[in-house]
Amino acid sequence: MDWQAQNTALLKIWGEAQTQMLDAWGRIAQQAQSPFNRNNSPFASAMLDASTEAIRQGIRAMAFDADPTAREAAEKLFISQTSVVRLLEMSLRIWGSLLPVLQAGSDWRYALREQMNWVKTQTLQAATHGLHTSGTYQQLWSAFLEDSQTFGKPWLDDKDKTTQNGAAGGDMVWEAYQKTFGELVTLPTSLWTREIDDGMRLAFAAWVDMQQALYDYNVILSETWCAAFEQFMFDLIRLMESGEMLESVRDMLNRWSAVADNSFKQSFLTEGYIRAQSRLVQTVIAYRQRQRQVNERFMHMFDLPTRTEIDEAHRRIYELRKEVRELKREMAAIKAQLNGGQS
Amino acid sequence: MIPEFPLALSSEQIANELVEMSRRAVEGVRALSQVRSEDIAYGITPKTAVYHDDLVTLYRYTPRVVAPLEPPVLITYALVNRPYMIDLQEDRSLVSGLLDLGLDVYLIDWGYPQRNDRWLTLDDYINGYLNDCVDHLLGSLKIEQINLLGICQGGVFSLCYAALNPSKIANLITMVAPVDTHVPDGLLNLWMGANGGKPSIDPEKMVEALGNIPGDVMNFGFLMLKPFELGLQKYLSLLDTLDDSAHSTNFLRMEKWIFDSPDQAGAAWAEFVRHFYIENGLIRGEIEIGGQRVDLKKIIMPVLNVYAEKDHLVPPASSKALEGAISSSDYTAVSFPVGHIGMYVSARVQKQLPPTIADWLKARCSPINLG
Repeated sequence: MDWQAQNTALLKIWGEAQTQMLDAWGRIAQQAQSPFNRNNSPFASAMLDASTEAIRQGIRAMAFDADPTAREAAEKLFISQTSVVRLLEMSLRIWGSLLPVLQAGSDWRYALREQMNWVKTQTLQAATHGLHTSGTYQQLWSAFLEDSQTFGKPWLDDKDKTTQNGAAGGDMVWEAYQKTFGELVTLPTSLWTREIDDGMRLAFAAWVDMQQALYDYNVILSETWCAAFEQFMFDLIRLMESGEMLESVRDMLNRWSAVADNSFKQSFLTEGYIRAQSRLVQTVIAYRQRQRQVNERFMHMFDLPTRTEIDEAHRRIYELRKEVRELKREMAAIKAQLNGGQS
Repeated sequence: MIPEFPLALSSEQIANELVEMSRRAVEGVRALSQVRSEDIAYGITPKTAVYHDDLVTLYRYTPRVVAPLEPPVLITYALVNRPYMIDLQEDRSLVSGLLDLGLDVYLIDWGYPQRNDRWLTLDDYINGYLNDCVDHLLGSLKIEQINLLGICQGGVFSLCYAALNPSKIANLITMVAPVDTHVPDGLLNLWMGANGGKPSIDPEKMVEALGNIPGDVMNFGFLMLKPFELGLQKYLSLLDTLDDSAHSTNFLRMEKWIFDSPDQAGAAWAEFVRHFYIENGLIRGEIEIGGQRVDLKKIIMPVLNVYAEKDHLVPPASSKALEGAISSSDYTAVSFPVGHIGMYVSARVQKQLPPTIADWLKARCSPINLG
């Protein structure tokens, strides 16, 4: 069949198919009475993206009494189905752009690479969305504070109060008083100590490191995904050249899955990946430790036991129990010896 | 010639397949939302707790013959994931298969470590809990030796234990046990830091920061080994079996097991990663448990080593390395053409594995009379 005609026909009937798919999933979304977005995009994936949250909520509402494993499997089934739609659309889109080159018998490899560059840019944006690796110090600091809301809230609240007080003073006398003496005397009540300040700065530095590591890691993953997709398109072109055909969308998915897993495995074995993964783990751990230090300084202030103190108590209990166990064993051996001696 | 997209379907057929897939997926979601926990019960073979210590419970499965084989088989499973994988359901139960063939089967359940267990070491697990379970059996049954069957990480524990206490073990069976972690093609090994060069992770630092290692972290690593097969294809395969409720519940049991991952006691995990993976200490004879060196050459009892030919978690070469490391003159290796998980759940393996183990043991043990 002429692919161009196939493509045009596909777009024509896409609207009808989309309506049917939406109707099916829409009934699920109704379970949660979530707003369901029926957008008019010609791409089913965009339609599904816009409604993903509503459908997920619908699944959760419908499966409220279900076994948690079954509920999660239901959500994953839905997500997997949207992945198929997305994969098919993307393949057809790239194929469509390669079509003139293939028809002209020109070098499709070059054309494919061009297309893949576009895909790479898009993928990288998606993969690193929400990460903070650039910007002014102030922007990064704000993003960090937003990220740290839970563990740093008391500190942030007090810092805000102090800042507001300063601003409210306004006149020269108040400024002179506040800068030379006022802050010092308000420190103990506001809980804003130098220790916490230092801790937050160290946590911030660790957070910036982690963001960079996360970015680098996501770059590798997205590049690997693109390489896998490129390989997949190569495979499709080879199939076409040899006159072979995939029998169904599911066949196509299976082929994609095999190609992608293999590409990821090859990437996972490289030194670059191992290094990026290793750095990511290290920076996450370092950030976690810094977070904990700040948390523990707050805990100290409120006379609450810290994680470190509880761990230490656990360690002592553990050692004592081990000792008791050993003593019991020795006592049993001595008893057995004595009983043996008496008999 | 006009190049065609290599999909042997018209545009209408493609759209129809997608619509049909959607319809099936919605049906699937509806069916899954009706599944209650009792529908996917696991661990069905009757058993009794015979010994308990801290988190650890020793179970005895009810024998099915009057005169089970002596000595009994003690199964030690990995700390990662739960041991009910070997007794998932009636037709996929290694335990049930062994009982049918006249074996007396005990199992150590390591439990779910809590935060206060972060200081537990491998010494506690091997010289403590495992040894206490063995001693309990020896004492209560008035026997001198048991048969030990170690699975995956539990296989490593059983090797260490057998090397440290050869007189207590009559026969040793290891299943998919990682012995040499520096063999090529082991992605998990590599991620665990077994690259032979600079380790890619610092297990002690991880434990310092996290306490116990969360089960979800471990699981994420396992799933990332085959992200598309395990994260996408697997769920779509449900569409093909929606009408087969037995198949769907099997799937969910497996799914439950996969995500039922206990946290790993911090100190023991760090030791395991450091000494067994990063340093490859078991095969090199450099492991020390509770101050005693684990010398695999002290394993002189008969050994049956079972491994999976397509194992992506424990490469076959990693398990096969055992042969050259021990002194036993009675060594048998058996493999099955499946992956790591297939060893427990493949219908074919479940037909062949229990008799393989039972026949091997029967050739080396004698039945006892319970009457």
